[in-house]
Amino acid sequence: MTDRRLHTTCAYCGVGCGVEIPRSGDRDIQVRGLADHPANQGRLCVKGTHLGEVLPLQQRLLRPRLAGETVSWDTALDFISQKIDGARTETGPDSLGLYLSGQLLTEDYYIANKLAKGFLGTANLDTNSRLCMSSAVAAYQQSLGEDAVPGCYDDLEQADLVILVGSNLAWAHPVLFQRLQTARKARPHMRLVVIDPRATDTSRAADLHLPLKPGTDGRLFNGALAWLAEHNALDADFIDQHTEQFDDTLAAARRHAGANWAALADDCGLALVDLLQFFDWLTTTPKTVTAWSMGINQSRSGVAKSQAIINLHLATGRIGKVGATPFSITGQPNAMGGREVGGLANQLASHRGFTDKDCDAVARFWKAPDIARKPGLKAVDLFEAAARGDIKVLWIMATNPLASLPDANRVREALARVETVIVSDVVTDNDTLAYADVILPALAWGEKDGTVTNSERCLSRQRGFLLPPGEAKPDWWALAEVGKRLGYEAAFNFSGPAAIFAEHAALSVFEPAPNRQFTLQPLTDLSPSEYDNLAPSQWPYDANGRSRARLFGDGRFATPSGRAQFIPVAPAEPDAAVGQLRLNTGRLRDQWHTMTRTGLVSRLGQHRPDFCITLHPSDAAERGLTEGQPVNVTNALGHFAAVLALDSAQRPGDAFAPMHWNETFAAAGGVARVIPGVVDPQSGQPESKHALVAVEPMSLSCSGAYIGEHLPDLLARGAVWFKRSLGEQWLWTLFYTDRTLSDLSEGWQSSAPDAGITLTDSDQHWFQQASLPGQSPAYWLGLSDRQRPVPDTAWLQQHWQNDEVSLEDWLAGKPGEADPRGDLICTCYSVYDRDIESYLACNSGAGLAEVQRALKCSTQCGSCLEEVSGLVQACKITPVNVETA
Amino acid sequence: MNRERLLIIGHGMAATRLLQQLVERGYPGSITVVSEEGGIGYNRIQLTPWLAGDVSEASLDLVDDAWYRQHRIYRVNGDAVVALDPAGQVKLNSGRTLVFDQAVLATGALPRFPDLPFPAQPAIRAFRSKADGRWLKALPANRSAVVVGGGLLGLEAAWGLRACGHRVSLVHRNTHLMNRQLSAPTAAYLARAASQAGIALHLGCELSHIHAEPELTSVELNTGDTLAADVLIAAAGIQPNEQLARRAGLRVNRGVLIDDQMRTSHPRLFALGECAEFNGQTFGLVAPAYQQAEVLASVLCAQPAHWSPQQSTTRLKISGLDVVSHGCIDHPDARHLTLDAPGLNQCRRLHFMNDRLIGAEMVGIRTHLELFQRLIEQQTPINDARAVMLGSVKAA
Repeated sequence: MTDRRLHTTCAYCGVGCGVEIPRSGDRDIQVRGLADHPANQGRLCVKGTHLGEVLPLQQRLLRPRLAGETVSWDTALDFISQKIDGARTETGPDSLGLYLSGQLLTEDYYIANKLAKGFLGTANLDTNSRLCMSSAVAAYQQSLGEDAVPGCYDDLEQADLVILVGSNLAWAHPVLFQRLQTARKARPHMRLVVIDPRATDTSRAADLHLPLKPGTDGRLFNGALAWLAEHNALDADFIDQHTEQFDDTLAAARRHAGANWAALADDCGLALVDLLQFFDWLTTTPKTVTAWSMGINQSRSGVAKSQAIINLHLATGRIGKVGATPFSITGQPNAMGGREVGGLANQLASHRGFTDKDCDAVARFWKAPDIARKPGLKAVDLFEAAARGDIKVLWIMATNPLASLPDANRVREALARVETVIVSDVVTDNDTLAYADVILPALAWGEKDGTVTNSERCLSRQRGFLLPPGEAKPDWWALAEVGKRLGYEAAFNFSGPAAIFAEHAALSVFEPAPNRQFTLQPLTDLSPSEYDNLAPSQWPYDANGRSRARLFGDGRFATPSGRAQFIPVAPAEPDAAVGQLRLNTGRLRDQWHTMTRTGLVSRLGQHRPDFCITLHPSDAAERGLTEGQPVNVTNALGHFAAVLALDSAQRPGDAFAPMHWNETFAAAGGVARVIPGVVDPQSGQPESKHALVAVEPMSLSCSGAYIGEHLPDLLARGAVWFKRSLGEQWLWTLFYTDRTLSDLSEGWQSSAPDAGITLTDSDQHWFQQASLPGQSPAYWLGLSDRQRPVPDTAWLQQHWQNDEVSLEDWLAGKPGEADPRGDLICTCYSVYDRDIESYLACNSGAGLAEVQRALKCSTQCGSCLEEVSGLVQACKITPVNVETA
Repeated sequence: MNRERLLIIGHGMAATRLLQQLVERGYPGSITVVSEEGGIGYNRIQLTPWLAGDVSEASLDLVDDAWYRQHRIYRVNGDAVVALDPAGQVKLNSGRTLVFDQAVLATGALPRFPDLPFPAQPAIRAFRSKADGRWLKALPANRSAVVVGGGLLGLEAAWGLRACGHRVSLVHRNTHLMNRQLSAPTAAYLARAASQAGIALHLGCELSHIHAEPELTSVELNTGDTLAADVLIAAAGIQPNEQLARRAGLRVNRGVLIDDQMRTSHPRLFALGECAEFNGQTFGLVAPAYQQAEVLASVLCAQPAHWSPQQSTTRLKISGLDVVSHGCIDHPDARHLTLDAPGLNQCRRLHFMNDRLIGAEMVGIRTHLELFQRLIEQQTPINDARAVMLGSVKAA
């Protein structure tokens, strides 16, 4: 059949939805949700729906570059190998670093991990999953014995009480939210509690929203444990038979929560009645799922908070059962797959750590005598070491740390300090690429081929269906080529992803530890075609090779003792704001990470077009700020600029800004510039959701907008700009603090002689210039020191090549109200063509003289006589069907 | 029966409109019109399209012969009033005398010829009448024509002659065309359009010599240039034809002084149109003349009315090229917004004072003209000048 569609997995979040696409080999495709994928069952969110729009080769990296010059792969790989070899010899293996990404496929990750830990002898290999998942991972490892999510997506539908904490599921994981909402409709007794300082689309859908004071969630969960204990709602048998350290943990929780529920509610910023309602539902609902994301993980106490949640579930035996489990929801498409192979600096491979036993086993398997034997540097520490000059070669793959790590200015120092920065990416433009010595063109979604694992341990194929563009190559290939050049020919001689997966699966069953959950047992002997056709399945598998959707339901855990560990915790709260605002960060619905893909799709920019910081109106009023004005967000680390938005649902004292914008999309960068490098001491995950900042008005000399393919230097100079895709064009919103309108307009006019249409103002309050409607290349510029020209971008996009748009509408950037009377014919008596037509319609057969007498048109200067008589003639030729109203 | 006798001296557009208004109001007296040119009232403004062949001669007529008969308007054609006795009598060139109870001076204006010596001849003339038009239409093709004056009249004449296929030079004393109605940058668009139409422009200069002995051959400019000339059209302004009134002892300055009912210094004598002067102002456009005609008709029909000059729109009557100007376009302190589209040869400029629109000028386009006219006339406060320019503000 020619219309058979190819099945693959979405490129975006950790839900890991199956998608199907036509097998056309075309880059212009329509993506559909895959009906029989367990994650989404045919559903797709807006980002996934527009996946086809990121395939065009716009801003695509196509050739290797070395020191700014295009080079061959051989030259680039030789150079990299020499640099790695030199640094390893001169300054030791730990002067090497790899910084990977949850966007990589498991096979890419596997080769990177094998190269670094197995053969280069350094565990300085970390990933941006560190910014996303590592606190939950550390909590699982300590509490359950392994980085193994106990539940599955079905539990969100089967539960009677779903608690979402630190999760804006509706925006960050829209398909899971849809599944939840559908289940709530079918099972109306289900309750949804959302614990989030912010009011979000998720909280608005909840039965109960607990808008707690930021950072008090750990105390709230300790309070919940204490409440359940006090109300005899614990599962004493489960605690007794399957856990350890309960008493210490309950005592710690009681101490932390305090004995007074009113005081607890007050300290958490909640109404007592809401707090008690939450506790009451917890008490009476065995089938409870607590799902959490970055609101818990991205904290100085993310591990402890995750443990507080897990403690509650262990104490009630609500784990690994249908509709009852703690459940961390991953951010990235392959964060879990990366961790399976050892993508974190504190993991070795295949869910093994750095014990001698584990190291020896993996060394034997890999035939790698020089294997790294101690954990390496976690992301923030790795870049800190780089900033100190301790890292000589840093290979960054599929991530944009300058935009995503905290304290961007320190990351910039680090990138500048490293002698050889290698960046493998698919785009020509992101913040980090500017610091790369070697740039390698990688394969993008749709081209690369391998596997990913989603938030519920479901392993799916991500298939390539497009030819690699230019000289782009798989990441595993580039890594393996370096391995071979360094003399490890046998270890890196892979024919393709199937062979890599086979080795990875074989390692998962090599010298198994008794309680380890992770295994790919039934997948160890796949033929290439079996690998190609691999259907989605969840690890681990039972003896019959069937997926196990839930773990630990039998009370046997992955710890050495087989018992789950209660961990006594009193999660630390973030620094108090004194006079500053507390900046929270998070995702938007239609953007992904640092926008390198979604930022190219015009439609995805329409939901939230501007980079806004949201304040409560009272905080804005206190600072004399008004909605829509540009502001500087500053602290000792740096500053970024954003447009002010107001929301009375925002907690006073708190501000929110999306995490996505960066130096590619905003001249003054994004939130990373003000987020301190504070990390959880156990997981190393940064506290990205907490920065204390001042928000100050930007003193404007003028502002405006430019639409075109490139922002001319003349406008870029001194501009605080924000950039947004309009498809073929970009829209730059421009703010200037020290360039006057006359300076800009004079400079512009002297440099751009090819003027289509220009609006000038002798008082220099306005300047506009645009190409003539329909002319190519089209551009549109508006500047003012009074009010910022804000074009109607949807209308402009629609009419970008329409030469019939009026000059006025074109320059206004929006449709004018058409004069209902049509065109002015007689200037002396202000008679319009519609006036004449309607007169003739009501007086059929009237001649010129009658029209002149009735309307006076053409009876003064007579200039319009021809036009009037033309209209009279036309109406005579085409008899008007008169239907009087 | 004692019908009042009204005498109208002159039969241009102002007089024709006065006649129409009197008829419309049912003027009870008898009306006599003395027309030196003869014929019936016609639209002088349409002379250029006629010369260019865009309209027929017949379409210039504002009324027809039957109309005069029907309304018992007595025409004295081909004769001119040579003396006016305010007591109630005029003497005609033919020697006839006519008596009147009230008289209206509608003697119009005379073209201003270059202040240089030259023998009178048909090739040196104005372009203000059907006679001028007929003479020009009869010229053999491909003549060299020099038009003096880059205002409305000169431009229209030049365009008309060019449309007839003649080689046309236009000499204008000011450095830009239509300098009373357009500012220099806007006028540059008009100049470009003129050049593109094949009219050779000589701006910022004037004639220094006319070689016309015995027949016109060329003119010299004060720049030293010599222009071949088979025809010389004087279109550098007009002067009110006030001689008759002056000789009659009426108060005359540049034109015949009138009050707001068009009454001269003599209670039975009125004046209107180009020959009249009101508050130090004379009027060369048709719009004020028509408005005066309406008021005067009312006054003559004993319906009290008063006239005050309004800002009127100047519009260049050239087929395919809109050039309009309204209000004040040369106030040195005014803020102006300009919209330039050189590729389309379109330019518009708005002038603002104290957040009010005071003037508008446009070349190549007339979009939103009525909005601008209304904003100027009503002095509407404006807080967004750009929105006005882009037509996104509706007048109150």
